[in-house]
Amino acid sequence: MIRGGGMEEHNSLGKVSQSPTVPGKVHGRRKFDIADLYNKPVSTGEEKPGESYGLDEKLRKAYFWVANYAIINPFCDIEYNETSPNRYVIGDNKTGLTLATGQSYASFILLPLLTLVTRKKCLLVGGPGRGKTSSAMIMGLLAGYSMKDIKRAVQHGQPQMTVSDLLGNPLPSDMVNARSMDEIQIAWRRWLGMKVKIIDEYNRIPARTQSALLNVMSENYAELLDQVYDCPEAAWYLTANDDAGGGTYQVIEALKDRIDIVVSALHFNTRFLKDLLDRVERGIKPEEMIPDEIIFTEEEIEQINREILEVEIPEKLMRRIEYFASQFELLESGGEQFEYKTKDNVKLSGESISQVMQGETGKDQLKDLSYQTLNGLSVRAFMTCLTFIKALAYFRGNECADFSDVRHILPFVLHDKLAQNSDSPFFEQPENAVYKYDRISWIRKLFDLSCAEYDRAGLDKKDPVGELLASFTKGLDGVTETEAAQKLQQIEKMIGDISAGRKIYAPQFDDILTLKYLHQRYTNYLSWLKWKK
Amino acid sequence: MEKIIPPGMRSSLERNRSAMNSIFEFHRSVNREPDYDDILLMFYRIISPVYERGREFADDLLCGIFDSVLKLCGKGYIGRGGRFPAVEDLFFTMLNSFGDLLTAQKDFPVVLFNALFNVYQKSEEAMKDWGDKMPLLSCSDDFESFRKKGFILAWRLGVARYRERALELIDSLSADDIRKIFEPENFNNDDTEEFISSLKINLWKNPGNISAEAKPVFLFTDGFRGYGGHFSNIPSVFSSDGELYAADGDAVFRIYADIFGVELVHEPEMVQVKKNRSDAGLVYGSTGEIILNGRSTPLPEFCRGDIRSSASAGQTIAWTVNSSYKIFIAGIVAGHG
Repeated sequence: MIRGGGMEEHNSLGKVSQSPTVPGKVHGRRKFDIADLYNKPVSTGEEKPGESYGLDEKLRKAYFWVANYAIINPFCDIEYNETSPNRYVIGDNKTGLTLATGQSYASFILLPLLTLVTRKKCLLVGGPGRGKTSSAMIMGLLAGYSMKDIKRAVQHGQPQMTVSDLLGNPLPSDMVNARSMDEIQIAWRRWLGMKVKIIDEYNRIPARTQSALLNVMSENYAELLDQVYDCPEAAWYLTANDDAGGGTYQVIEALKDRIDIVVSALHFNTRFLKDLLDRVERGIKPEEMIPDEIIFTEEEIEQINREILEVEIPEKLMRRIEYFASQFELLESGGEQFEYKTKDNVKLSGESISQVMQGETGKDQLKDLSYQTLNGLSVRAFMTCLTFIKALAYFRGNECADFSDVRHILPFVLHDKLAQNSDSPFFEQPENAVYKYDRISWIRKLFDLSCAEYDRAGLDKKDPVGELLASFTKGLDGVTETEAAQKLQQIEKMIGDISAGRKIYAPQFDDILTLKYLHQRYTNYLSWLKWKK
Repeated sequence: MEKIIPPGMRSSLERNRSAMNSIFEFHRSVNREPDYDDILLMFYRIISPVYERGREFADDLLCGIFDSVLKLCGKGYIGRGGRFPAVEDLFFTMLNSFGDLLTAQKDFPVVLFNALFNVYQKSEEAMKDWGDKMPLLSCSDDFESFRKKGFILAWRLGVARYRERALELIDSLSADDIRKIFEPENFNNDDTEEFISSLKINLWKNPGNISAEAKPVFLFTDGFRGYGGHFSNIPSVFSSDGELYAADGDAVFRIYADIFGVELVHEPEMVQVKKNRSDAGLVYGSTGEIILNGRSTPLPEFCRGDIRSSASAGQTIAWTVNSSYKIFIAGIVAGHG
């Protein structure tokens, strides 16, 4: 929240609170790794003031500085509760309002910050003038760049932008004198070498230039006239306006798919207009007063990255994520062979997935989550979800991710990745119509419904496919012929049971394919054992 | 302050990462929870000077050093929990001086620390002397030579219990080594054999000046446990099988004494008093004199008092007085008084 009192605020802008952001949190290494000795400079024990805390604490301090001083953003849409919160029902639509009892965060600040330390790609969306570019620039400042460097390096999307504008130009003398393409040197644009890359209004970049951008985003190199520039790992911030302003292009699907997380810039809360006026009148520019203690070096970001990867996702939580992710791919009438019964198969054929789904009967399209989406999740989406879940848990100072972390992250990562089937009967229900506009809440709802189904089926306690898979993962060494045959029988019985149920639901789809895979592996192994005899 | 990893060190650590992490986990399972940062810092302090000089450790050696660091930190000898800062400081200094041995001998850090600690038990000054002299003894690239010379030097600096073993090793010393370790006066290279022989024969002859007249040597050691000594009660001395012992009713200590110093070493088992006939002499406390080999010599002021107990073995007499927790020693070269 923004404090009032101009001068006091001005003086405090350059400072970071020394009190811990999570009281009682013990900072320390989670797991010993000798790699820490060579992955970062070694501290000789002479600590600088204010550096006696872990990097997760530094990350939190950075967050709170941005949230309290840099950006007037009094939102806490990522809510955590330590005790049972008070809930209120407000308005005609009976919307729930929760007063969170735990430390909660603004997605507009937190997620770009997590993007910085995970070196992912964040799309900031929202109407003009809502602070999208400013937020991205602050991330650049936190990474240690000067405002001058950042401003010069921001790539502004516009309809006349060419590939050369984006990537660079060949040296004129080389163009004249070179006898082969190898001899042409390129004056690469400076932004390519930066570790925070900002593309402003990326949906105003023409398609051809988007393809060049895609190369940089996906493969981390730029290519021009057979010359290649390898870019360093970077955090990306892309902004997009709506179409109302004109001059926008359809963003190519592959480029959209490279976006890891989508964050909305929320509206300006008019109760804080006075604070805004104060800043304008006093010429307060938070971007010029970032305290040194919250600027991250490259080594620190790499270290944070490593620490994030050490955060554990408990097995039971992982199982719920798997169950949720398995809800969306199956389209029973999408193919004859079992493996091809997917929405992707229908999409590739050019047919309308929505229409194919509408033609299906026998399942409750209102309750079956699969009918709410037009696609399943890609491997890239899975990996991004898991990374951000870990990053959020790390940010909160935890060694393990918890259910709330998953519930908060999934909507932002899957925002543009799960295509909504607006023809689904689900959205025709009056109470669900709002999910057509509020994708964050929709995806959260999907996860909640998935977990409810998971609990109803008692899957925490019984997971026969999981047990078979775990047994298989231990390896086939030492497995006897009898044991392998028993496994085959077990698999065949399980598939028989599913078959007897007549209907198959999306989560069973992956289970069946897994059983088929295990059956194949044990069969091959049995053949080998017999051959060996 | 932060330092950068030397080149070469990174690749060594990467190669051995899995092995070292396993070593760490083992120590963690058998010792108290290690301080991760402390372990890394100690390890870095030992190996980085070597890499900075452009040298490398063999993989098994590197793991061995890491294991040594964990042992030493785990027992509270070095690091944040280190209880002996003087020993630790000299330890790191000497590791730097003996880089060749560090890169050649697997357990060198532990051997070095043990050596320093043992001498430190004698006195901090003796340990520092040892640390100053060892680099001068031409043993920086030969572990056996280091071990032997270190042992002898420790004995020379007062670790009396090393005498027997040191005399077994002393034949390996060159004239130059003798000069540096014992600092004898008017010593020529030709005198080496005689010098060594004299040391072996004469417990109490001053090797610094072999030709000088042998006089009785008076020493004392130890005291009240509350002041860092061994005894909680006023001790008594006795002899058994040609060795001297001190006991205070709670524990028994063997007395090691020679011209270089005196030490008490705890005896884990009970020792029976067994006097020998060929003892050097008797102490007469009331007259303030001592009879050594039939000749009377006045006692120095510091060791007079009402005699509580006395014992002798060979050319050495030990006694205690009623008013002190100390053990007093007198020694005389055989044939002199």
